[in-house]
Amino acid sequence: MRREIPMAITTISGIIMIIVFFVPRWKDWSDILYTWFLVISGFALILGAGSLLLVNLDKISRRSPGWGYNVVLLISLIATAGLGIFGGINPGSSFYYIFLYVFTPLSATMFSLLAFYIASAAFRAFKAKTFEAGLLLFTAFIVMIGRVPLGEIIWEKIPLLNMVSISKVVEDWIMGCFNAAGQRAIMLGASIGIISVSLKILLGIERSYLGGGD
Amino acid sequence: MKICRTITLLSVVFLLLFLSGTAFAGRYWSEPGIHQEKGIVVIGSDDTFGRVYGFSIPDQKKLWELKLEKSKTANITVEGDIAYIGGEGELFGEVLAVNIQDGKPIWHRKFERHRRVRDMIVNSDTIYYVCEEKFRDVVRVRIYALNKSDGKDKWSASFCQEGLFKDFFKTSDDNFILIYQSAGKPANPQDKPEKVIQLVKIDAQTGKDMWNCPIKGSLDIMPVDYQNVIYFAVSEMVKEGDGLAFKGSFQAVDGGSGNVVVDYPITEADKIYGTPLFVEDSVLLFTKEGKIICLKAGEGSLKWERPLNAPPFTGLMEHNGTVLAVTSLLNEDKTRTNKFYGISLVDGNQIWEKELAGSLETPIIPVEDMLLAGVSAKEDTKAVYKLYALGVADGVEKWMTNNEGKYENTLRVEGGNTYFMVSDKKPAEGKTPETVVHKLVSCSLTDGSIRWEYGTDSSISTGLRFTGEMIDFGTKEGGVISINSTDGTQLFLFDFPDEDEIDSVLIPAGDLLGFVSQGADFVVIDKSGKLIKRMETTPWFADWKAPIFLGCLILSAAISWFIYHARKGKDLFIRKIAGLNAIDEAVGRSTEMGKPVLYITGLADVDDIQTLASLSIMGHIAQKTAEYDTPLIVPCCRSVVMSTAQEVVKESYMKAGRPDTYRRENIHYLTDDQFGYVAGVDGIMVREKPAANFYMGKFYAESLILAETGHSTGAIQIAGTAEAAQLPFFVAACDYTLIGEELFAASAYLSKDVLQVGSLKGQDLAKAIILFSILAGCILETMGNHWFTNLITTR
Repeated sequence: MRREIPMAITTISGIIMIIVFFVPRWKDWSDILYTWFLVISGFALILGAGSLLLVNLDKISRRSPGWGYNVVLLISLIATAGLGIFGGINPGSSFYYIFLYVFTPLSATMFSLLAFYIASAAFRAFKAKTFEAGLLLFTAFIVMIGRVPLGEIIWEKIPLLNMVSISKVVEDWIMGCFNAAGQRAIMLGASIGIISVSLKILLGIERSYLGGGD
Repeated sequence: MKICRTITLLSVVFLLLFLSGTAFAGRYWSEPGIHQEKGIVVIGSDDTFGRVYGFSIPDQKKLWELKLEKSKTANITVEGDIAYIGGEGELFGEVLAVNIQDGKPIWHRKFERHRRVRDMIVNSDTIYYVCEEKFRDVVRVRIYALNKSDGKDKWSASFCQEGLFKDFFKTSDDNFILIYQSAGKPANPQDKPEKVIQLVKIDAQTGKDMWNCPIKGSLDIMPVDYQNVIYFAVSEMVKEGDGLAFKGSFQAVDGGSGNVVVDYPITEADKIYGTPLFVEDSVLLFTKEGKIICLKAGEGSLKWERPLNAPPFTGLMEHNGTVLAVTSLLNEDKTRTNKFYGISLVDGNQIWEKELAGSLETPIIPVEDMLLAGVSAKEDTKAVYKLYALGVADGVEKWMTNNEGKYENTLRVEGGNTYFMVSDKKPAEGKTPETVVHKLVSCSLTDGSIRWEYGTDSSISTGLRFTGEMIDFGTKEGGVISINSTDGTQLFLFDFPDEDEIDSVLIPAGDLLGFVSQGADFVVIDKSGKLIKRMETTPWFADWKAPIFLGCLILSAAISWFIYHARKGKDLFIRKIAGLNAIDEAVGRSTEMGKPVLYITGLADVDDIQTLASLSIMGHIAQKTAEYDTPLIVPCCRSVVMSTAQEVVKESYMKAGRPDTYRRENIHYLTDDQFGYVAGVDGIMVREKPAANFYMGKFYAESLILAETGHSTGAIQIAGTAEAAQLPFFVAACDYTLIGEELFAASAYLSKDVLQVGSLKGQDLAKAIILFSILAGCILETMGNHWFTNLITTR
């Protein structure tokens, strides 16, 4: 029964969601399922926090390399949670202060790394070693020109090419035809894949997400 | 077979338990058309349901139900026994005339390739259906003038072929004005095209242009018709020396000739705010810097100017020959200074000035010789609503009421009394938690004294309706409350069983009241609040999703057919997927280097199919790491995913016969926050230096940060996602990438299970069908045949 019950729950939940999609009178079923999911997630969050505590305490007790970071993490976790639970989260509270002046800048810092990584990834991706890579480089160059104001000024100075608007070339032709066609092909394939996996899960053919596969 | 039987049995039990607690769907409704004498209400669902209903309140029954073809209800007008219904769809519009008694269509017009309805105007003998047609970025307006008796075209025409549609309205002489923006030729060919506003007057009888008036610049105030003259404000930035200068004007075009009759220059400081106010032969304008300008209507000559120097503009009105101006300035300490001015309409002289502290509330109502204005403020940390009555002639405070609570937008004047609603928190008492009490307050208009207060736990959702001595309103909690307007006593309280918000007006018919709830019911109650009839409207089957249903059936049939053949032992070919073949290589490399394998399941929770696909792949990889005795690290972003991942990995280790090497702490939770998670995973990569990184599942902006950090540590990286926007990042930064469907095929590919492989072949057949549909659609559309597109388009 250890496997049958989770599979039965999966099958029923899946069937209910499909029925609700086509039967509007029972739309509230899906709302009930989402509520259940939220409740379960709430309990699972305790599991998550427990896991975080255990893993970090273990590393601290073993004095494994970099255990100081684990101490910082645990202090931050306990302090933030404590301030939020006992002091509230409204504007003006300590929790709000931490969120606004510590958490948000740290998140922004991580996000801003993306700009540098895009440059380094583009440098590798655009090495014109083959004809296809050269074509990619050329297309990317045109798209980049079309997306920046400076590029528009440069384009207007090039004879013959300036007869066509760069934004038309980029937006209507490259992005609207080639890129959109490629993206749609990927999305169609992915959508069929999603339906297929869902069907396999509902029919109990795909069971590996329960572990093992049998 | 045993497992199938058990699953079926358990499924049926659970399903029955679940069905026992059913409820109904929420709906959105259009404005109803009402036949007052017969008490018949025609109402349409303003959602994808695309249905229109006729209800009789006196007979307490649903008279009819009508399904629109491929649109949702936009407009309903009831005239006599006929309801004119306008529908709007994504690529489809329609207008119907139906008999309100039986819902039978008298005529039905369909408009293909037309979307959003701008307006539907019903005249004495014509219906004007104004809709948009869009091709790429160009929005054109098409007007159909339909004969009211048979729905046939009187005329139809497309407008703003070369411009950007701005507005459309009916003029005071029953014709139409259409406004669009076009690009004019610049004086210097090297300059950018000039913006030109085109005002076009259309003859309602013939659809022909009566005149066309081009105006240079962009619209600052949308055109308004007053006494057959069209008023508007335009501005543009013009070259002046080395820089640009503001050039604006308030203009008016004569509705008869199309000639510009008013051209009053406006400076940048005098940029006009809000809509002009028209009083007799005057046009009043309020400027950005707080000046009132009074022009002579139809001529544009300046009558007077009154600088108030108190921006920003909040309200401008006229009452008993006095111009009333209101400004509300936000101070640095977040408080507001509200100033009221009384100005003579004749010469612009300021008669009085009054300042009120607090947050100004709307509406501001001039009544008799008073101006009623309310402000919200805080007194001793408590919210209060103060209603002031100022003399229109002198600005003197006649009375003021101070009410504890937060104002709810309901100020009304009715029968010599004022009514408004405030909500106040009622503190917790013993075991009773804190509650919010909503109070309807009635004050005397003479002295502001409170006549009565009515308190309720329910908040108003429909506005107040006055009938004789009765006030009634619908509530957000699903009820109707009726109060005696003389003494504030409750006449009745009708509690709707499903607690559905009542968001429509209450419709009276004799001794009965009808209304629709969001819970898709039309409800009839009597004036004692007793439920008379409740009529369901939600259909059983979502017929507008029939193409999706059909598509799913075909796909499921294809998959099932191939599964059947696979089960019979037919050899099925699958092409090689390099990313999946490389899994062994990646795990082997980690083993040789004595370093761990890192597996990321993405940012989504287990309710996302990509995460489930990822967990399946992780099961196979975990089996390999167990066989090679290589640590597998799985940092999770969602706690439910963590719990599931722990079970999947544990099962895989058991299957490999190595349960002793399973380390639960290696599959751990980090944080739900996107960039917090990225920071945590990057830290693991840098510290543990895994030799193989797997990114499988749903990813957003973090994809490249993770993949680039992994690349910098020298790990072999295999990624897979169905997020089209993230795929280029993975392709650029990883050694192998599973693109879209390959992620979902991975489990079948790795397990070689015949049933799963069969499903893959089914997918291929579905792709072939889609390919054929695309080709067929392209050919038919090129030939101008929309049959196939209409067939597969949902509402």
